[in-house]
Amino acid sequence: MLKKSFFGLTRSWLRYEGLASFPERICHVPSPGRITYLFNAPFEKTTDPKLNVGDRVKRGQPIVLNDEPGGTLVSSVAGSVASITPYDGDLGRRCTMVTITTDGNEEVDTGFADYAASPRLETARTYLTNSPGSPPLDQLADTGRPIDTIVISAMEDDILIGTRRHVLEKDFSMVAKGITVLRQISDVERIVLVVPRESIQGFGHIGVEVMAADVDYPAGHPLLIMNNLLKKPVPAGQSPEENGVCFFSIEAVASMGRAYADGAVPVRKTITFIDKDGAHALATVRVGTPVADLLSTFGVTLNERDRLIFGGPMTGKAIYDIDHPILADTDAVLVQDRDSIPYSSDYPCINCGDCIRVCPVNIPIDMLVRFLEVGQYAEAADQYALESCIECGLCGYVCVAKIPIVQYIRLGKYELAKERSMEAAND
Amino acid sequence: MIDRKKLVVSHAPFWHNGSSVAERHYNILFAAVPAAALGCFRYGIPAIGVVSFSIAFAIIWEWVMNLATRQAPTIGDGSAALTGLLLAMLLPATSPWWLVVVGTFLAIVIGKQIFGGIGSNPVNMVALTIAILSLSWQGHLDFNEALVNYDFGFPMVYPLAQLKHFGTAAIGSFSYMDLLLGRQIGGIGAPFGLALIVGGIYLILRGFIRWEIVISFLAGIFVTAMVFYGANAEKFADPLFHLLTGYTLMGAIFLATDDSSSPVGFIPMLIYGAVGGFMTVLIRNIGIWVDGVVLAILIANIVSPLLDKIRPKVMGEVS
Repeated sequence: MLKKSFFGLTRSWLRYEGLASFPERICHVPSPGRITYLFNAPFEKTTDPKLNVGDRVKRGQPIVLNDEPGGTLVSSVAGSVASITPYDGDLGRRCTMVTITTDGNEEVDTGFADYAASPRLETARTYLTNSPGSPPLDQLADTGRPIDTIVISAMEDDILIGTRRHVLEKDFSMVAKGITVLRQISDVERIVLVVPRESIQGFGHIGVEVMAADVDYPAGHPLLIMNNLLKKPVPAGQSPEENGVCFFSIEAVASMGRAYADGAVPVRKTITFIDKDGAHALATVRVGTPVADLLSTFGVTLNERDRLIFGGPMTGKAIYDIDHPILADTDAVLVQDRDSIPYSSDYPCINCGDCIRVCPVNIPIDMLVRFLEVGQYAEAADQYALESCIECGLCGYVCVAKIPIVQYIRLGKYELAKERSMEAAND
Repeated sequence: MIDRKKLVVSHAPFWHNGSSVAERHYNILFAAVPAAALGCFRYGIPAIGVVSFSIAFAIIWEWVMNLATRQAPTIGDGSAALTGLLLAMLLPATSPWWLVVVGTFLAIVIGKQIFGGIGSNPVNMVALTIAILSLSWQGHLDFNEALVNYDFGFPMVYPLAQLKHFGTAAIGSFSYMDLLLGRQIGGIGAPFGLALIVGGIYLILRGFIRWEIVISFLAGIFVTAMVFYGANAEKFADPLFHLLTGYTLMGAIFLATDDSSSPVGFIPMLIYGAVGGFMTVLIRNIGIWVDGVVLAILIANIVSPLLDKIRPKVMGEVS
């Protein structure tokens, strides 16, 4: 793929997966004996912690770790807190891991049911931010950055994944309900549903604007949807939210619809599991299930030096711990055999130009990477559009010299942001 | 915790399309082989000697530089072997052994390694070498002089030299078909137009060289020669003659397309090729040199960093 075949004139392009390539049956991963939550807030020892080991929680009850943003998550099981430990995330992010052991009874917290009759943004924020699909309700509620458009995206984050496509085609009644809820809890006028071009038919009745995105990867990337479909290009380094557009995955909208229809917080997430041989299947998993449980359900054994990835092959994140939980926004789990892992090299760029031809946003990568290699991040941003990169991973995929280009770019962005915040602090 | 399996973590993307530097170079090498083989067949043992010696010494110099600069050996990536083969294809079959040794030294050490190795050479190392050799040992690079003892049954004179010294009247004896099929003298591989074109088409189809450069280089030659021919058909040769003689096809397919010394943007590639083609005909028609290809490519190489500044608007860029 993305490589000329021996006789072919055209390059085959990476495409998003259609549902036809998935087995009909959806694997139901049984509820595990323990559930783990990753709080996006640092672990702090205080004299009067809000959450203690041994505390009991009910299904659908908000667990409050602290008052920081990201300090509250809703439990998907009933049980008791077994451990609270610090966890190191990407790029120095400090998180807290909370493990809950289940005890068989499915005691349900009725807090949400009381509010379900009259949807309001505040209660939805408390109860639904870590429902399957992870609805970005905090962004929607942020008064500092008013939102005027909501985009409901049925486009996957990556190739090989079928999670959102499945929700679009098999669970659309809940999506329609979710859209009604969205209208009730926010005063956003414009709601746009973005679907793959192949399945554009049949959404006229729900009363939202429907747009079709290409099935060529990475046309479903939020920044490309902003540029190509909404015609609102996002300035480099900014997010869609800063420009008045909030992106919901279609699964998040379906979860919201289901929550208000059932009067209970939904706890099962649809995910795509991609095996070592590339075979992929859909599964439903309780949010917070350790990935080890998913692997044993599919009968996959991990060997030393295999690779476990949350997300797809282009943009996913490698995981170092098989107890890592499936999160509310984990759309796929990919397992790679140690023999099929391509390694990057320290070879210099030979200037072949393959990356330039695949870059969806026209970054002069051959020049950019020369600056990044020697740590000149400010120059890279000023002259060679470092911050315009959408991190789709295509340049690294085609690189003849196997340079870890995306890694350089992310490091560059991170270092640049650090430099800038230090400068701002000194002023 | 002790029996926990260690997983490999790394950064996305987790897939690679399988291309490699070595694959690229060996394919280009493969595409150059037909013309080189025809040259060896025509000139026999001396040509085989030059080709083997050149490839061998290019690799040896690369290895020596790897040792001297304490780098990991890079001879396996095919770059040195390719340089050696391309250099041999431009040299006459009668080149003495020391010329090949000096030539490969210039190409690998002066042309590439002192700038930092692969990917860092500012100009094409083979073009640079031929330019230095023809300035230093004109007699050995003059094909009429070098190949005086051979007779293959077609005019044993270098077509471009005839044009330079005797004008268009002297080139009437060359038919286009003869020129295309390599019935002309020149370097070991350079005269075999058809073989070079086949190799070039292979490389373009497989995506190993950038077609924009090849096409714009040839178009540059054609258009410029056409202008001269239109202005004075008696003094200047027709465009087709320029396309089929000298180093034109070698330059367009193998030298101008060198990765590191050429630009990669679409517009920059077109300008780069056109500059090379334009300068080639300018040097041939009004310069003092018989063939302008290597010098024209060196000039285009030098312009290349400037051309890299021309780039399309990046999404999200405010300007």
